[in-house]
Formats: sequence, C-alpha cells, structure tokens
Amino acid sequence: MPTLNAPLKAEFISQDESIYHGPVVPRKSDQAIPANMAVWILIGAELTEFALFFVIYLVVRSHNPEIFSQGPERLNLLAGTLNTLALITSSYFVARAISAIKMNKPKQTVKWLGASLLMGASYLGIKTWEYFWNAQAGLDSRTDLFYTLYYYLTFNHLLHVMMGMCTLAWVMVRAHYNAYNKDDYQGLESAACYWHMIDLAWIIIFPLLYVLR
Amino acid sequence: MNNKSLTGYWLVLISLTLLSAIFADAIAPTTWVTVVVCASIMVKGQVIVDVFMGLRDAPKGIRYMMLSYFYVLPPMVALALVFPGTVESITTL
Repeated sequence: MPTLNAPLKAEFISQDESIYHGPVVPRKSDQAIPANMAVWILIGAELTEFALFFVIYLVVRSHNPEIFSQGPERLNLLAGTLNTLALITSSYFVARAISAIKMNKPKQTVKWLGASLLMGASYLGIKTWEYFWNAQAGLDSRTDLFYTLYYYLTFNHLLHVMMGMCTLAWVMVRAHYNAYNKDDYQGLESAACYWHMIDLAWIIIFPLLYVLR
Repeated sequence: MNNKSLTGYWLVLISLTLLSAIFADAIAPTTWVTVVVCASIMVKGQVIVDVFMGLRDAPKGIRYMMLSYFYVLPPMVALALVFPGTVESITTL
C-alpha cells in the first residue's frame, strides 16, 4: 500500500491525463483588492453617510414640494455644472496617475496627480464663488429648508474634497521621492479610491440639488 | 484599461453631465426627464466604479457593494420624485 509521500504524489499526478497544463489563471478569490481593506471600510462608511443625507433630502422634499421645486431654479447651475466637470476631470487625472505608475513612470504619476490637485483647487474656487453669489442673491442656510439641506450637503462634501486634496498632495510628494513603483503602489491607490468616492457622492448631489425639480 | 479607453470614458462622463445641465436649463421637469437623469447617474456611477476605480476585475464583494449604491439610490430618487405623495404618507407620523 503506497503512502502519500511527495515523490509518489508527483508520480500519481503526472499519470493523470486530465491534469490542466495551460496557463495559471487566478481564481476569483485570489484576485487582489485594490488599495486595502481599511480604505474600503472608510469608503463604505462615507457613502452610507451621504446615502442617509439623500434619504433625508427626499423625505423632507416630499413634505415640502413647492419649496423644493423652486429651490434648484435659484441656484447657480453654471457653478454646479463646472464643479461636476472639475471633479470628473480630476478623477480621470487620478486614473491616469494610477495607469502611469502601473507602467513604472513615477514622473508622469506626479504630473497627473498635480493636474488632479489643480482640478480640486478649481472646485474649491468655484464653490467659493457660488457661495458668494448665493449671499449676494440673499440666499443662506436659513432661507428655507431646501437651502438648509443644500448648504449642509455641499459644505459637507466640500470638507471631503479638502481632505481628499490633502491625501492626494501627500501621495504626490511620496511619488516625487519614488516611494511608489509598478509593484508597490498601494498607498497611491488608496488615495485614488478615496478621491473617486468623493466624485461618486457629487454625481448624485449635482442632479439632486441642481437638476431635478 | 489603456489610456485611450480611459479618455473615452471620461468624455462619456462629460457628455452625460452636460446633458443633465441642458435638461435642468431648457426642459420642463417631467417624469421622463427625472428617469433619464437618474439613468445617467447610474451609468456615471458604473463607469467610475468599474473603470476609474478599476473594480471591474476586483473581487465581486467590493465591486457589487459599490455598484449596488448606484443600482439602488438613483431608482429610489426617481421613485421619490415621481411619487412624492407616497413618500409623504409613508413618512408621516
């Protein structure tokens, strides 16, 4: 009776004609998670927070239909649209930064991250202009329920953008000093995923506040 | 995902945003506008999750968690806007 020691096992396997000799394809369970699990928990928590705000907005809106149908008409649609374009473009630049580091091009990564930060700064500038524009039109957080929620949602999102920009600036400095390469860029990918999450929240906020009346 | 594809998807996102802005500015609010705008949110969310975040080939759990956000919230927004009376009656104490 043969024992299951290593040489016998190898012989046994080599005689099996059904054995697979093709390229090794990773199983789904072996696929790596982009960034790391901690970032995904953070992203899940942040998106849940925004989802709760959206539900509150819809409930309050259903109880105050007139206020909420007039609210978007008084907002600065140009500012909202420009901010959406700025955030989508910054997300694209971050995706290009990840693409560059996968090709082992840290200098290009730094360039794309810098461009993304520039888009983030544009967002801050446009949002500041929008808030001043509102103030000149006599609109503030106490105007009515729509504006209370508008300021709460957009200012909360603005804080996330500022935090995301600090994270992007940090990974840009690290990329400048060659902290990342094609085999090790988890920190960069974590910052990128967080930034995309900020974009994801905005692509719901924009139509909810500015478009849908 | 190559850079040309990334640029193509970015242009899709830009186009959908401009389409929403045109709807807001030039077209009277109707049920169809609401449905189209919410559908565009779903498409944008899917593109960002799958392409920009790179979750298309990621483990299913994380990908589905992210995608479910955009499969649940935009339809919920559309329903709440089309049937505000129902939401009001459900949420009245």
